[in-house]
Amino acid sequence: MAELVLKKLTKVYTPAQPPAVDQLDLAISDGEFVALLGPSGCGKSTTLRMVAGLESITDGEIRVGSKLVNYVHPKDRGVGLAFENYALYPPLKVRDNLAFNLKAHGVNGKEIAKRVKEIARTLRIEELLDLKPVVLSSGQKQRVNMARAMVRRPAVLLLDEPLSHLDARLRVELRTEIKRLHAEQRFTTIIVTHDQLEAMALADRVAVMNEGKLQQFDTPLEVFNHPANEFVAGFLGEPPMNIFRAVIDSGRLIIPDTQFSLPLNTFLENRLSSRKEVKLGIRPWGIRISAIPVEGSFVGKITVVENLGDETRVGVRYGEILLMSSIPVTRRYQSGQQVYLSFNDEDLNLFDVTTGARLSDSENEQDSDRWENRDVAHLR
Amino acid sequence: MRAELKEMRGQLGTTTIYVTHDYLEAMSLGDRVAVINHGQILQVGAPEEVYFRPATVEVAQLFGDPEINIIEAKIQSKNREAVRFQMLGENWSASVSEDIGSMLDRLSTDTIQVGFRPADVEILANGKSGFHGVVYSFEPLGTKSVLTIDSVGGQRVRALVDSHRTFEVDRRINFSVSTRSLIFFDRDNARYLARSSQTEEEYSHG
Repeated sequence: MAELVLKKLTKVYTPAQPPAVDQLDLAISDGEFVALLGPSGCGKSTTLRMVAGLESITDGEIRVGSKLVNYVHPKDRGVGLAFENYALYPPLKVRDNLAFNLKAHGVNGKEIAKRVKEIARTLRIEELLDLKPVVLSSGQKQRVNMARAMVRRPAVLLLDEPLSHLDARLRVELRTEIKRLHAEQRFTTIIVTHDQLEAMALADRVAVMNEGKLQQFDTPLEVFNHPANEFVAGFLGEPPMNIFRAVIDSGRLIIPDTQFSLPLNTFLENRLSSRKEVKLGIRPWGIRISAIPVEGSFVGKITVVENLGDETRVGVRYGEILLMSSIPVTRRYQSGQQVYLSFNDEDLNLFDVTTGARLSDSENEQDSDRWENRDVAHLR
Repeated sequence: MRAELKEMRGQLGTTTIYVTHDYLEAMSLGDRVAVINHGQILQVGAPEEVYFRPATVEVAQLFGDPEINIIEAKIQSKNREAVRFQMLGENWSASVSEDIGSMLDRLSTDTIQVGFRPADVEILANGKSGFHGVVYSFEPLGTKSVLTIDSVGGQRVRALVDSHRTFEVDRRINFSVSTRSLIFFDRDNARYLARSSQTEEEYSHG
C-alpha cells in the first residue's frame, strides 16, 4: 500500500475546449479511502483513468509512493482497477479469472493458489470460486470484480462507479461490505462516484469536482457542514440544501416581492461586508416551523406537504423559491396553512453571488479553517 | 422537483398512474400506492397504510431507508403488562397492549418475526443493559449515520444515529429497540399480524 499524490494534473482534449481535468492537486495518504465525487463530465473518471495509465496526461504529475508514474506502463504502476463493466472472462471459472493476471505476471502456481484463497475469504466469495460468471448475480460479479483488482496486491485500488447500476437494495448492502472491507484491509483506495451518499458513507475524505476543477477536499462531515462554495453546498445532502438569492434592504435580508424577511444582525453583517445581495443556503432540517409567531420568525404559507413515513417535508413558497423543510413526523401540517419560519444563525450558509464562494466571518477568518491547510495526520 | 410536482398536482386534478421504484415518490405523490412484485399486487393502500401497516415483510422492506430490520423472535412467556421474547440472542421484555397480547395468544406457534425501523434503535452508553453486539460498519450520510451491528445472536441490525456521533468498527455496543412502533409478522407466511401502537393520528392524510 502506498500514498498517491497528484500534482497539477491536467488533461486537455482539444485547445478549443476547457480542460477536462484542470490542475488537480490531491495528496492521498497511505491506506486512505478517497471518493472523487461530482456530476457527469466533471473530470472524475478522466482523473482515475490517468492514474490507471489508460489516459495520457497533458500536464502535471502522478506519484505512487514516491515513484513518478506518468510514463510507466499501466501494468507496472502498482494500481488495481475495478470498472463499472466488469468484463469477467466467460469461459473461465471465477478462480481462473482471479488467477489470470497473476499468471500473466509469471507468479508461481503455489503462490497464485494462496492469494486466490486469501482474497476469496476476504471478499466472501469462496463458494463462487468454481462457478462461471454467467451464473453469478450482479452483487457476486461485483465482488469478483473487486477481488480481481485486489488479488495482485496493488499499491492503490481504483474503483470506477462499482455500484452505480445495481438496484437500490443491493447497492446499500454492498456499500456496507466495501466499508467493512476497507476498515479491515486499509487498501489505499480511490472510488469514482456521482452518488453523494455513497461518497460520504465510504470515504475518509471526499474530493468534490466540477468542470474539471477540484472544489473541496475534506472529510465527509466537513464537506457537508462547511461547504466551500455554492456548488458543494447544493451537491451534498439529501434532501438538498435550499439555495436562493436574497437582497439587503432596510437592515433586513429579503426575497423581493415575498414575505421572506430576516433581520440583519452582527453575525450576518460580519459576513456580508458591504454586499447588497447574497446567496443564502439552509438545509431542510435547519428550518424551524411553528404554527404561532416566534422571535425572529417571518410568515409564510405551506403549499405542499409530503408525508414520508418517519419524516415529513413541508414546502413554503416565496415567489419562485420553494423552501423545503424536514420536520419530525409528530408535527402535523396541512397545505394552505399559515406558518412561521425561523433559522439558527449557525445553520445559515452565505455565498457570494458572483463567485459562489462561502462567506465566513471576515473579522475572525483563520487560515487554519481553510480546507487546503487542514492537518489530516489523524487519518493515518 | 418531486415537491414541485406535488404542488402542481393539486392544481391539475388529472387521474394519474405513476410508475416508480422510488418509495419516496410513491408516498409523496400517491393518494394510494399499489405495491407490485413478480407480477402480483402485494398491497394497495394510502401511503401511510402501506408504510405503517405493510401487508407482508416484503412490502415493509420496500419502504424506508435504511431498510427495516426483520428479526425472528421466540415468545417465552407473557402476562398482562409485557411479553418476554428471546430475540437477537438475548431475553427481552417488551410491554405491549392487550390487543397484541391476545393476538400472540391466538398464534399456533411461539415464533414470530419482529420488524423495527433503524430510527427506533437507540445506542446506549456502555455498560447499560439492552441488546449487545459489535459494530460491523459505520457510514456517515450527512444529517444522520447508518450503524450496522452484529448482534450476539448473529443477526445484523441497522441503526440510524445522529451525525455528530462516531463509532469504530469492531467496538462493542449496547442498544435498545423502542417498542413504540414494532410490526409483527407471521413466521411462516410473512404476513402482517399487528403493530405495537395504533394511534389514529398516524393515518390522517396531510
